[in-house]
Amino acid sequence: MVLEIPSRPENVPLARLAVASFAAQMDFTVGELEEIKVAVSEAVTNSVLHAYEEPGRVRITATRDGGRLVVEVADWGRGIQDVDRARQAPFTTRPERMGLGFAFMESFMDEVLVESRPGQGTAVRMTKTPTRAGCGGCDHRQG
Amino acid sequence: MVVTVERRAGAVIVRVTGEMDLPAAPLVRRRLQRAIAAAGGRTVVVDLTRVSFLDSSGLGVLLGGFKQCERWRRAMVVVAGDRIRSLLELAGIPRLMPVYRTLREALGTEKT
Repeated sequence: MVLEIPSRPENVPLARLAVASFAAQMDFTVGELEEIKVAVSEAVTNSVLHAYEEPGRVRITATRDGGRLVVEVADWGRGIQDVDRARQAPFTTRPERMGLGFAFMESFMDEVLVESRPGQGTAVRMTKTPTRAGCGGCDHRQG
Repeated sequence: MVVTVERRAGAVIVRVTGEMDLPAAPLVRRRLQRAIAAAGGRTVVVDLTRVSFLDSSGLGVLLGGFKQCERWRRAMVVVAGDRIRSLLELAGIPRLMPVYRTLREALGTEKT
């Protein structure tokens, strides 16, 4: 699934719902789908708030790699000067925010990779495997 | 997303219904700021039991409300169901303000 949207706040719900709809075809629990929605919302929110002076493009890609979900959120904006520092919670450049975006992504996804080049853009790649995938087809459900 | 404000004897209840995210944050922030300003000696109760989605943008609104309450010496509490509550806990919100499971429980803190 590929979705390209203008970096406007009102498009954030569309992005997370599109990824959640894609992920719902896999074996995620309702609780895990909610976690994916939060992680995608955080990544897209970062692009909307920080990437551009004027609205630019944000591309959201969701793919299935074997049994795991791979989500990539990319922009072509200003990039992050210091990725390591930005990933340390609470980090924010805006007083009205909590600086927990990356912390939420890391809490709710199995793996979060951030690639950013100042002046060229940022790509956040997140992966998650359904917990039910490892339980031999048992019927436990949660959330 | 809908925000309603209800004034009772000892509390001002700010009830949010819907998604509390980046596009919703400005409206919730404005309504909460006004409710805190008009609260007088009442406890500000933020009822999130009808919130279907919360992310760090929504949490930032709560944090802003908490800071305003601190400055203005108001008490602020939050009501949330299990799913939203787990996000609040992850963000450390219960260390800043009480989080209750039901409105009735929260209103037990009313100053009468």
